Amino acid sequence: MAKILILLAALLLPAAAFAAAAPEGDPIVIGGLFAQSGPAAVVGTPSKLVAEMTVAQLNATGGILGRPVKLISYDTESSPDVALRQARQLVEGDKVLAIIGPTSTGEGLAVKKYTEEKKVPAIMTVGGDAIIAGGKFGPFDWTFKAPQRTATAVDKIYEYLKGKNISKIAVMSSKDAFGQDGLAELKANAGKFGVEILAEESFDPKGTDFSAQAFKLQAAKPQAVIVWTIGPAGAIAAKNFAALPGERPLLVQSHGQPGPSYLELAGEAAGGTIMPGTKLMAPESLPDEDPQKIVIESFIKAYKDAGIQEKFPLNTHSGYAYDALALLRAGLEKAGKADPEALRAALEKLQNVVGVSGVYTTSSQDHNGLHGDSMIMLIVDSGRYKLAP
Amino acid sequence: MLALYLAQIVNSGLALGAVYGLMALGFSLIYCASRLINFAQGELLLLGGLGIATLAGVMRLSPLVAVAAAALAGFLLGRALFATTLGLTLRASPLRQLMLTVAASLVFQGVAILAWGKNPLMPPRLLPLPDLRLGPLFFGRDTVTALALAFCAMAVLGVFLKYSRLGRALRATSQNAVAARLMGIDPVLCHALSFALAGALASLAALAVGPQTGLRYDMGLGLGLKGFAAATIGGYTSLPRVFLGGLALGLCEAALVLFLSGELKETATYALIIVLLVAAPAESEAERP
Repeated sequence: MAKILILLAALLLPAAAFAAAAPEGDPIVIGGLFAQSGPAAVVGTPSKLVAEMTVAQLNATGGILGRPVKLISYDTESSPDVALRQARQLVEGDKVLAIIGPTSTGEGLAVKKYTEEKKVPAIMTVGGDAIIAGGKFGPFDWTFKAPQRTATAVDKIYEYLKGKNISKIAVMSSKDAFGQDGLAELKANAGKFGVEILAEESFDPKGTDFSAQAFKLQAAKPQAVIVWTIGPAGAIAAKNFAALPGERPLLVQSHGQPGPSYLELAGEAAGGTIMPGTKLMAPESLPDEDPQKIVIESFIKAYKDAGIQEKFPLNTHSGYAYDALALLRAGLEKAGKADPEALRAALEKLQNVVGVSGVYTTSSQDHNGLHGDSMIMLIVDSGRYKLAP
Repeated sequence: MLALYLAQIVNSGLALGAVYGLMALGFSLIYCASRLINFAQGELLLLGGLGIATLAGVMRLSPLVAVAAAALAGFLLGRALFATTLGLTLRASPLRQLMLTVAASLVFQGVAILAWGKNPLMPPRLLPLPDLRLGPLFFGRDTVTALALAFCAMAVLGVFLKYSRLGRALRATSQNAVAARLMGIDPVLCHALSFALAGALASLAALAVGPQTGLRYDMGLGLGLKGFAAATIGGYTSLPRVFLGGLALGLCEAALVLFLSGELKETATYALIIVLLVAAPAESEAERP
């Protein structure tokens, strides 16, 4: 079964361009929501390009269910309000079958409420778990998430710290939904790993200087500080920590950071910081039997061939839009028809769909389908990401 | 513990305070020469900084060349700002001139977005100054850079205003524009010069603040307002006092952030400015700029 699916996934890529019949009939219309400006643009803009690249690949290899795929995408400006407005436009104006994106957790929460109501399947590329957590965040029947859960990344970090005998930590989280989501998970899982959180601070992700927070956390004398944010704020925090006098704690970033922009913005301060990331960040470390290896290698090649690499060098998020479309394709093929309810039902019964970020196996309770084994711990060493020792 | 907190306040307060001080000097120069508040001051910093960052990406800049290039770029930017706004409306009402600088600031912001995009840019550190420890005090390299730049700029500016012919003309215009004109000083030249000098100061401030916080298209207004506030606290007339106003503002802000929270930074800082401006002894007629 797994082998067949690997083959299926490989089919998505032009490297395996079988002589597929040209897709015909009405296109399947998919909506895309990507933050192409604002703080999440570093993730959103390349996501859009990857989505377009993947759709082109799909159409070149026979489309989905023999029909061509059409992607209509909008810029959410990293704002929940704008994202919601664009989602309305996609559903009511463009009559899309399903939505992929948006980029940030705050946007995801805003869009989710609406798509659940309208019964539109949404495969989101957001970092936070709230969209598929249920409980106070509302039902998530129609909402799926391609990137790893926050909890998966948190477990990965705690496991690593435990291995290094680090048990006293401090947490610095951004005040947006992504940061709060991370803070909640870090607190909830600390006990399980025998980790004690000595101090916590929050900051505005649009801020430009967090040295006061960094200073206060350092004063609590933790062995490690976990910074939970996405975008440039993480690099600023790294710089602020590096500028502190005296003994500095080990700096851990969230799974939202790995990528060249962090290295560029933080410069020397990035050295020695560790973070969980997708296998995309260190493809050379993958063993041959890893089912993701072939998918990741072909993805990287396609990413370069499409010219995206020049503008947006690969980062840990690069694969999410691809994965969202891979899930969509697997769902539609399982459903056998382009119908929202059938697609929804199929999306929560997927098995071993090999994507760039991991091998997905979903259930009605697990609308993500990825686990700790899909992540690796990275360390920044002389301006590059390496597998953390 | 308290000593550590104080050291941290001094360190981060002076780093930003020096930048506010440089901005405040720019506000004062323009205000004294033309009785105008230049709301595009923050954008002069932004564009100057972005320009230098781009230049540094293309070629290696030695520290001295970087400072000179920044000052020159700022000088030209300030001159261009004057040529496109105030220079065309010398006789217009002050309100119209003020609005022109506000409009120019937004246009400059648009230019920054078009040319450099909306993502922050982290310029390289062009002045390789080391961290400094003085007893219990610690000055990070950003703080040292900002202070060094600010003091050097102020010293050069002071010498220029005091001893050079042009500087004296500028001072004469700010003391009494009519009398200065009767003495054969060209007021338009002085106005233009004040804008250009303010631009140079803002651009130098960008060298200090850029590697600290990064440069982003929307940072100009916040920094500009802080400079304006600092200049008002400093009283516009005396350069050292205006600069001290900037340092004081930076220190207050750092203290507020540390003891209250980063969230209330702007609110608390401006609340303090209200108190300062209301409670400060009124300046006498002679002191009034």
